[in-house]
Amino acid sequence: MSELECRNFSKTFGAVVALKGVDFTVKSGDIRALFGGNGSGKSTCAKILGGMVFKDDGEIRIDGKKVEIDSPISAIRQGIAVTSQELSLFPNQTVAQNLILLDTSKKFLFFQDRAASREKALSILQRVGLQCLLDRLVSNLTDSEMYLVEFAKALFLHPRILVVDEITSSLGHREVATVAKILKEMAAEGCIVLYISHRINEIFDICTSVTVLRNGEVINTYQTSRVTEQMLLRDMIGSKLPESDQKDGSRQAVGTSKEFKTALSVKGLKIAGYSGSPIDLNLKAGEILGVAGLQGQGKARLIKSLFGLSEPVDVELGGRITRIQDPITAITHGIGYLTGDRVKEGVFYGRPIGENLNLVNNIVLNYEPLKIDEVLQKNKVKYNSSALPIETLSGGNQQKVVLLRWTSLRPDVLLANDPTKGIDIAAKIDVYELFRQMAQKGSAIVFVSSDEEELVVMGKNTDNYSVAVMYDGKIVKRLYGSDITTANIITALIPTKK
Amino acid sequence: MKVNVDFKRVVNWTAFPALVLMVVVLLTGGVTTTYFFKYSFISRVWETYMPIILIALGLTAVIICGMIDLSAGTIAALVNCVSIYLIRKMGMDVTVALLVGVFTGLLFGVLNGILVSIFRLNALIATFATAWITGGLALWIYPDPSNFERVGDLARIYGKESYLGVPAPFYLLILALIVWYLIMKSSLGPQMYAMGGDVKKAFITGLNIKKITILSFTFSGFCAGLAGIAMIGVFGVGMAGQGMTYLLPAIAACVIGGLSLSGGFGECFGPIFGAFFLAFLTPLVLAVDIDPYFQEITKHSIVFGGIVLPSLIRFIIRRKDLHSNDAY
Repeated sequence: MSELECRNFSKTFGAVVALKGVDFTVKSGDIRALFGGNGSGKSTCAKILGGMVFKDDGEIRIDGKKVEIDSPISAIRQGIAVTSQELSLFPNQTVAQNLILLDTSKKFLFFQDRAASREKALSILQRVGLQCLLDRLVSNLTDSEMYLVEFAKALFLHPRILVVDEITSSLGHREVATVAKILKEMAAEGCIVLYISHRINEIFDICTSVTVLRNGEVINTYQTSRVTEQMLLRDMIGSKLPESDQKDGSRQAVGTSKEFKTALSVKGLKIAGYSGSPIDLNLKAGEILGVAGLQGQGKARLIKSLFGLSEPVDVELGGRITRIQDPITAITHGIGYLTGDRVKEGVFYGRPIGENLNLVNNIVLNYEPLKIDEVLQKNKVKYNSSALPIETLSGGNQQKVVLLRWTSLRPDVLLANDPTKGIDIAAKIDVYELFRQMAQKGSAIVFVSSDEEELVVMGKNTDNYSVAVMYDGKIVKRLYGSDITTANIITALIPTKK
Repeated sequence: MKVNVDFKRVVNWTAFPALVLMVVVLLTGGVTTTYFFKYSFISRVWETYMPIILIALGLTAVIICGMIDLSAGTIAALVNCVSIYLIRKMGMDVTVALLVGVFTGLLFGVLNGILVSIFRLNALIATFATAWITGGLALWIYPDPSNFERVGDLARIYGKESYLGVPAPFYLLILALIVWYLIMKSSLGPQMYAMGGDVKKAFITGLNIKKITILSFTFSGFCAGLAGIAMIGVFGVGMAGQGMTYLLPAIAACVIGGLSLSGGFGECFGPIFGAFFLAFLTPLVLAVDIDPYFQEITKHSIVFGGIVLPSLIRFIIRRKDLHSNDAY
């Protein structure tokens, strides 16, 4: 019977208070969720336990004994493994090499016993179902594979305290189920598990208890069997959610778009790497197209091609045929690309918040710079000064800045690739509303998402909305109006042979 | 089918361009001159160049970690002077003096490692400072190469003797390669590549960055020490000022050998082939009867080509991979 006690955690980054007197205790066998909005302090807790961040104040007690964790090395020595929200894998090495970096099995003095380490790595990979990836270069993995390998890396250390920080945002259903199963097995073996996630249904599915954080303070801790989703959301936000996106409110749209001119039209688009038949796409101004699809079936590739990140494609924009061969061409022709993968494609670390926000608007396109503070405050970004580097923001707030970078531009066409990844629920609702407003003002939006429910919610109270489901690089189903339900989308994800 | 697979692996070997360059220069020399394939000629070339080869090998460790060691050349010169001083002025036994010399190199390697890891100095700046210190110390010992302090017998052994069929200079290289092999087989090897790949991720993964830093600089200092011993064989006297002239060719050899200066890539044979390529290039350019005014620019243009070649090959391979995840 083991126990982890975090007492009075306090941490301030510059002038932003991340944690303020946070207390919680977790016993072995317990899977504790840390739940909260952007900037609530959950990741900071994880990083303190993992030795990546120094706490300003507070104590960590394991089995009643106080421990000092001042580096990842000391955390590992205490048996704590933390998965990183921004992956800690080395892209130029194979999965096996990544996993065995810390293995201490020796053969003959200091010769590393690579064979034994590989065996260990293989068995861990088998547990997550990725044994075939043992010698694959990490840079050749898909996102969900990378996050599973990150998870495997934590498991490799046989930790007695496992902290999982937001790895499921890039995983599909099956992978999430695998993770859930392993976490329950670990807990049954006596491991202490901390689970940080935005996804409420995962928390109810996997965790035995949940601690809610808001603005760096613990609001409440509950047994998951004794708490409702409403209670958690109320604790997280501090007030009730707006009604509109919770039920099927059929609010009349304010002002329908006057003309239905074509914003973007492409014929015969073949997605590289798939055998599917070519795609014809016709987007009208003010239209929002949701795109669903299993990981690796081409939905991300679709909009990457439209943005010039794949082979050149001929597109009709505003009546003229243009060849889009690189992002610069796309941007100068009014196409924006919004990504949920902020680490690889979104955030410019080291640069100030204001610069990250203004990037496309001012620096690339030489338009009038945005009124930075106005934009940030209006969209409830938790920040201190826009001159500070962007790393001073929490992950979710960084994502908001990337989002605002593109949405403030009012592009003719916005290509959004899983834009709400890693953002909390209240902020997601803000994003859907933002997309609706942009559409009403005439932008066309392609909204690719790995979250089928999100695509359904987007459709509520939105005119000119449809959902395309992709499989093997082509559109296999198109849903309109009341046909847009989670069940219909999921059914269409894997087309059955008639 | 099996032949195709092996061919691809060879071509993708980071040391392959350097190997090709070395062979091309040798063959060109052999075809255009009468003496390029003569043992007397070849052995003189590798004797003269052994210090650079050793320094390049030492630099490999530091470069793979993502850092640089600007003091490697001057450490070699210092070791050269210290050893000779101990032999001539202090009458120390030759073997002991050489060991003390190499140990001096190792010590300055440790110093570099401590400056970078514990004092958190930037590697470029720290080793630049150490270069001045070691160069200055070398000059203090032997302000000019004094022929009165010649170590003739060592120079003779270096130039003429072979043991077990292997010429004397190569024993230094073999010793360095044995230590390198041990490093690569221990956990330190992969950790160096990880640190060079992304030092922040390496830290988060729980690697001991300080330890890796100190050990890689120690290896560089050790190899520089061996280079200093080689210098005794080449010159016979204490050449305090020679250190800096060795540094850039050694770095060039590493880049030609496929190492990435940002770290995380490459292995040891590349720099060795690269150094040999440079070694045989100078006499080749001299032999091909180019107008003396154009010799330097010809030689350096070829070196430039050699440096660009690995990157060019990497680019061509990437281009062929049309379905890669990144367009950039």
